[in-house]
Amino acid sequence: MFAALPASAQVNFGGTSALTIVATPSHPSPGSVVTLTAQSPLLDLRDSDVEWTVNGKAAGSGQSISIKLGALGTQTAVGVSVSGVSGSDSTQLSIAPTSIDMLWEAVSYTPPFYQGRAVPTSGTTIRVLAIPHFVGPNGAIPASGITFTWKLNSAVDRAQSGVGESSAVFPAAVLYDTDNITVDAQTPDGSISGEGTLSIRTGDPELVLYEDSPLFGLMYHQALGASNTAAESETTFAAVPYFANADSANDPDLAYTWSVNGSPVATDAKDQSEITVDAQSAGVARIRLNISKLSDPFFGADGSWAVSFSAASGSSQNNVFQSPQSP
Amino acid sequence: MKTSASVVRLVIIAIVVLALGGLAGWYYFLRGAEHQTGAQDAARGYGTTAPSFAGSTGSTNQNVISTLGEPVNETSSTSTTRLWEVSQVPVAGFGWVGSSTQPILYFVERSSGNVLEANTNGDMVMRLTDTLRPKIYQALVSRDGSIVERSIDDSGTIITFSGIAASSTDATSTPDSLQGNTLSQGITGIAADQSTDTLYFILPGPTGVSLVSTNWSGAKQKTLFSSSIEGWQLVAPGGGTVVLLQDPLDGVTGYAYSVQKTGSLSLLAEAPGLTVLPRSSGALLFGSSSNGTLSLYAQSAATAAPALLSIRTVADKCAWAPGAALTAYCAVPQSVPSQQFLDDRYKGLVHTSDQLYEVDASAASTTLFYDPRNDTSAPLDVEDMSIDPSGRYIALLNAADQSLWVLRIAQ
Repeated sequence: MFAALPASAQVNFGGTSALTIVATPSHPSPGSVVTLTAQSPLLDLRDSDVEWTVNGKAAGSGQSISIKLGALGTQTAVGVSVSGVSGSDSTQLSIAPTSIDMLWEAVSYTPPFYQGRAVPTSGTTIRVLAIPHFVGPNGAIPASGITFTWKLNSAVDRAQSGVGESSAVFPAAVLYDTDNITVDAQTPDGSISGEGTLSIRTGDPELVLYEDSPLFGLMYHQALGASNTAAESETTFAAVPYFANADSANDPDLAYTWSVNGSPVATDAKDQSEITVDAQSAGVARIRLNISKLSDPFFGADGSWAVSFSAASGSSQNNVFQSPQSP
Repeated sequence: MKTSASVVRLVIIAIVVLALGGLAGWYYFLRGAEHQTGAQDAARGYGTTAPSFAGSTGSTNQNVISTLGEPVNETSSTSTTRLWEVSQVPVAGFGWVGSSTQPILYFVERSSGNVLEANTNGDMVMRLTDTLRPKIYQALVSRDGSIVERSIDDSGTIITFSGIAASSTDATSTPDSLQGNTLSQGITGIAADQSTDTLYFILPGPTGVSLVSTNWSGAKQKTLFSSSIEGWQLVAPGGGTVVLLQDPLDGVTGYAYSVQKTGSLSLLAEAPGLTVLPRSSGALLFGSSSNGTLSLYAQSAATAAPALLSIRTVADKCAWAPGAALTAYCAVPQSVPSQQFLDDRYKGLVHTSDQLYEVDASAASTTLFYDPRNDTSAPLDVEDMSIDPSGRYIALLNAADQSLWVLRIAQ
């Protein structure tokens, strides 16, 4: 983003200009406003005349000025000169605005055809992709020509950093904690640079219950709410553990504990995400479900739903329900 | 001798008793089967009357009524209402076909994968195919009648089938079969470019996903782009353009890109909870969803500054109208039922009751043009809105039950 041009300094310290320009933010985006501040350890800037130029034209005076940057691919040349009793100096800075799109998703379970993004839960990982928008004198610079340095919670991840390494994978933070992911990107000569940051919180998986219709399949468009009405006396329900650390809803590492009206319900080990409730008379089935994972004490989700069944035709039983069956 | 006669008599009695028992058992078996079939038919939304689908022109609206029940407020071409409930049973997808002066809609039944034709001239419905492909979760229809049907196999893998259905002008009196090919397994996202007979799909691989273009038969496949991020939605606005939208998440920045022919990405929009509706001309509608607040922006051209519109909705609920004018129609929820509206909507946890607005993207203005409550008591939670090539009809799905509706735009 910044390229310091050779400074014409009259007050030098060990051959280095005593005058510097500090920009805030340090990696401004196209069209943004950036504040430029002159700093010097040797010059008394308060008692000096500080004059600024932008692209060769006078742009103001004082220790700080604010300017608006151009579009992607434009370069803004900033100059500052200082003169006073403590000495005089000048320096220049070239600013090329950049931006980095920070795309992320968790590697966690979502059902087929789900249109939303997967988010992290305990034990999952996070994929990150940085898409830099760098434009040099010869046009757009591809990611393959940019050096990426990835950091997780300020610690550099050297294994995933390097030229063209625009993507990385990090473990999700522990439950309810946050991963702070940073990438520094710059061209090999350092003339253009940028930074991207992310803060991603780890949450709980989410249990959602659907009817599994023998005709239409899983009714993903009609999740069960707290209270529901069943159209048929025998209905199969399927739980979807959104964002679980699992390959599928029936991942063998997941342990489903179902109950209906307080009675535990055994399910088919290969299809434990589903139960079938066979109501022989009118009543309300209070379905409860807990999902856990033996290998991860931080993983868990609960849900409860009430489903009203009307009287089944041909039944004369007074019992509200027959024993629920596994599918 | 007397003992033998008694034995014979007992055997005969036993045979008679067994025969009667068998007949009784058979009677109850048939009765149970009939009850089960009736229950399944009822679950499909079908009445007890079997559809006839007879005659040289195939099904009629009467078939639909007898099969699906009385459509809401619209049964014939003489109706003065603008809204027609084409299918009460869940529909997997639909599309306008041909370019005739009287728009025709093809749609795919979710339960059977059968393709049906809905003719806006007389509000007639006819079954085109009878090939059983059960539990179709998503379907696409091209302008020439090509069909894509997507289902899930026993292992949870998405199966994508591409075939073609005969048009009504070629159809015989009986439904035809749907013949075609199965595309690659596991395709996670798919879109059809109506103008170039091109399918675009997202195919997972060992190190990420690839964006692939192909024709509708699955031939001439070409990889356009690869990504380590796997969650993308595809939009093909026409003219050979394809847009990638990162799977949205409420309140979290999402990105949408136009994929260049070189495979590079050109950023179209970024916003929290981003949804997009691009147009081939470069115009764009994009929405943002965050903390229960919906915002919709219009860009009249690719380089134009976005303008905030007065309506509160997501781009998923909008469709561009054909023609030179930058006109779109958007369904707008009367209230936003969740702080994580997009997330909960995609999970089927929340539904809305929408009104329809006309949007002039050039002027960034909006006008309420239709309130479904005038014609139906059913709340319409609009999704997959599509306008016919003549610009006179809007087809849409009600997300709450996947029913299919057609609205005449003109009063």
